[in-house]
Amino acid sequence: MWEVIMALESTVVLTVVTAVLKEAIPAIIEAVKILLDSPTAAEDVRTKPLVFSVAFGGGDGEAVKVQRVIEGALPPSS
Amino acid sequence: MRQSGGKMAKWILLTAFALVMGCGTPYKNLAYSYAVLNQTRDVAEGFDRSFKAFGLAEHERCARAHGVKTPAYATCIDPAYSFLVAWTGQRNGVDTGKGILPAIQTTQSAARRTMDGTYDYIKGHESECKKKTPPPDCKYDLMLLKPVGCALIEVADRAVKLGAISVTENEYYKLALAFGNWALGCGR
Repeated sequence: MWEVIMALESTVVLTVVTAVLKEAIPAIIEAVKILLDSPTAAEDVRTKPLVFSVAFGGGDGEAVKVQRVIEGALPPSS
Repeated sequence: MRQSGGKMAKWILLTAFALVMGCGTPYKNLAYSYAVLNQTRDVAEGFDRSFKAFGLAEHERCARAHGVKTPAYATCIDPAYSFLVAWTGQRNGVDTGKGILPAIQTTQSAARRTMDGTYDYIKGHESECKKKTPPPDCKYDLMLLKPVGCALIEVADRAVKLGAISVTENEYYKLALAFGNWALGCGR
């Protein structure tokens, strides 16, 4: 009788452990990954300058180019 | 028993998560802030490309209908042209000093400098910044980006009303909306 109970409990424990591992590990790995990645992510960005592909003052940009076209098409008095 | 295993798993999961969050790296907030800043830049530049396409389409439509260098062309193109002037802050190549995009970029550059300052502070004070109540300098205050969020949603609203961008087709509109909702209290 005792052996049967022990065997049943082992199965239960195994089921619980499996369920715990199955559900918890991916989330924990993900959380640890974020934890480990964040300093790297911040450091990576810190060392790179902020580059605008649209840079006013320098005369670049997309919308401003079409503005020049429109200004060229306006009558002289406008 | 399967159910109780599931509950236990959830409890362990929550505890582990709380532990991970509690002992979180002091860089987490900063890495997130850098990501948000980059997204605001992408939205602004995405809008700029959309407004170029809109301006070009309007120019072609008005030129076809009225011919260029005519008063009728000037009247026809005026709503689109005024919008572009408001966006770029330039008129006939002269800076008006009132452009929405340059204002956004100025705020973004200032935010970037502050974030870099926060990074340097954390780097020099890692142990202090890991404490339960870290000094305020360990965190970047994302609300400093609020003017950018407000400007993005404001310009998005104007662009939609004008027909410069489509609510359903512009991939940056929803992001701008999210920034506008996040930066609560815009215009108040």
